[in-house]
Amino acid sequence: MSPLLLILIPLVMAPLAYILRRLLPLAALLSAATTLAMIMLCLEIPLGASAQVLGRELALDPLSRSALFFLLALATASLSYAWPIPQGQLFPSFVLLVLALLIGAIMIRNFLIAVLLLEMAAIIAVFLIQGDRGGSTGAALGYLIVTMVAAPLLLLASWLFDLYALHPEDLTPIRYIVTLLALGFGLLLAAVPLYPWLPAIAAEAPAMVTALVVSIIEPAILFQLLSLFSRFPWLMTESQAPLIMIVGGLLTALVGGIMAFSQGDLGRLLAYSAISDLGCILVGLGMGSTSGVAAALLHVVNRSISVLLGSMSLGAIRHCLPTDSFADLGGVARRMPFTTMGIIVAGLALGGFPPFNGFASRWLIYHAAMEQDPTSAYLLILASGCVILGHVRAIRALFSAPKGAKIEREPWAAAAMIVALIILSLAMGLYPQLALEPILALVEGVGLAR
Amino acid sequence: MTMPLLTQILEFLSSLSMRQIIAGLLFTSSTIAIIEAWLLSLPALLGQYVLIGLLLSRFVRPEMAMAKAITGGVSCLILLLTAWHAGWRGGPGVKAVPEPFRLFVVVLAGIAAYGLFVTYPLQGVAEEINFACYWLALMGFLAVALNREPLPVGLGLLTFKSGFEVLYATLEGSLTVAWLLAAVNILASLAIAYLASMRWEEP
Repeated sequence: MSPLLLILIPLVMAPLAYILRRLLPLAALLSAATTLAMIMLCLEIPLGASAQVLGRELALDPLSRSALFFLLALATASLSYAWPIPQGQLFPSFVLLVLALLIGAIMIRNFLIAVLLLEMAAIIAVFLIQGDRGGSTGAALGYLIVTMVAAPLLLLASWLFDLYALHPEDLTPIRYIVTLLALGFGLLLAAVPLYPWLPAIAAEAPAMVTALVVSIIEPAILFQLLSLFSRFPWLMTESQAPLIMIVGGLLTALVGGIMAFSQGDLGRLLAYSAISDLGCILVGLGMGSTSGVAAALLHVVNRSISVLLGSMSLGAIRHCLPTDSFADLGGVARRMPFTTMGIIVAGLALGGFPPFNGFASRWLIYHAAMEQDPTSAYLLILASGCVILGHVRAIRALFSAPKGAKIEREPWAAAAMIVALIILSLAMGLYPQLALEPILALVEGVGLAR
Repeated sequence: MTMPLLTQILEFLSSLSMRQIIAGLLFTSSTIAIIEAWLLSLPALLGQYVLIGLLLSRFVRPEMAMAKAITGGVSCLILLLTAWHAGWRGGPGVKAVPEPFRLFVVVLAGIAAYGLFVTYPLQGVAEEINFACYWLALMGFLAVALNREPLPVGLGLLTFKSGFEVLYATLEGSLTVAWLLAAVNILASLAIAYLASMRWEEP
């Protein structure tokens, strides 16, 4: 069985979902069923299977299979959620297109083509960010600018990789490569100070689109970064990349945490919490040790689950209320108990509060940081405290007295999905070894650590 | 009647010297950065793509240069149809940056582009490509920074990307990559068109 099927199936199903766009629940279920079938296919295709596309090799190795399985599972959950709570007419079909391109980027053995495929996926996400909304286009335009500026930087880095391979005695390109990668990946991942586009998306775009960008597109981008470390080990041993990741990660965690604490609406709070969490991941990767990289990868998984849970809860609130501002959340806890639980668990998990999933991976990152530089561990704990305090403010608002009109209850299907993710979050917090052991094996097997 | 005219245009374009092509690029990209009205900036973008095609035809395979020009033409057509359909006259309630200020900033950016070209020339790349790359990238960046509306920002983004592609086409000879870059450009044009059309819809 060819891995090419994983790209062709969503490409074939996307037009069908687009035709059904006026029957949104049906289109969402069709797309969710497609991604579910793709998960099964992903498990069926033997490891090492390859195909030729655009003159380049497309292959399924252990790392790419794990990444695909994870992204497809999240996509299935996001698409299923669009059945009870619509996320825009384009959502079911365009998510399939985004997935096809991301899968191509993950499986192709060529950084240059992977960057171009990622750029296309991000541009398609621009349509989803805007959705059916008229008026303000700031968030979508911001993401388009970020994508179109970041991709050329990464393509130039790709050319410099080739140049350095031809003349390894000349070390000049290394400095430029690291600078270009830092700017390109920093922009695409919303690292500080290149982050303002993400809070804008969380405030303006449908909630599940924020989840798509943070939980599905960002991990695919991180995958490219990891692939580079695996293919060019000198990036971690002979360049400033680890130092840049640690310093940038600490800055991202702290600024994200402080900003999360000062927010007045749920959307931006979620975005800044995700930014702070990204800082943690970068510090873990920058440590470069097996435990640090494994903890960072586990945190990528946990962050995606927490952001998905937070986005589902946010989507339910926006579905039942005209705004997600703290000032208008009074009475939500009484009328929407499952959504409230979702907001609490997602917030605490993103802040790394026990016993939720975010705590388990953060704890491992703190531990890895303690071994190398205790100050960075303390700074991460400080950032985590700020995020938790920000969410405590949101929780207070949810439990405050009702102010305006009667609030609708959340749709049962959305509530069921929120509860399922809460259970998953708790299970991964209590039994982190379930995910950690395979990740550790992957890190050691693929040679991701120094 | 049409064919002789087309032949004359092609003859005229192929007779342009390198200096004239660069001067044309300076003029078109500055127009995009200074003027917000699509009736002027869109033809400038089309002209810019034609000139980029001509510039590249002197350094890379003709089919690659042709790919850039065709992609540019398709992008301009998409944006023209959108601007036409939306009757685009600037965004609702957004005050544009005055033209004299834009002109002043363009002059400053032009000096910066020349400074970069002289101080940090890209090794192993022809002078003309070097200068065009810096100039287009800076002018595109400027157009993005000076505008708020999707269409003028989009034209700036496409100009910025052209600056990069002028350089990249001479570095990477693969036709596959050239066509993928073309697909990215067309997709970006569609996204800009979509945002420009949604800007005027009721919130």
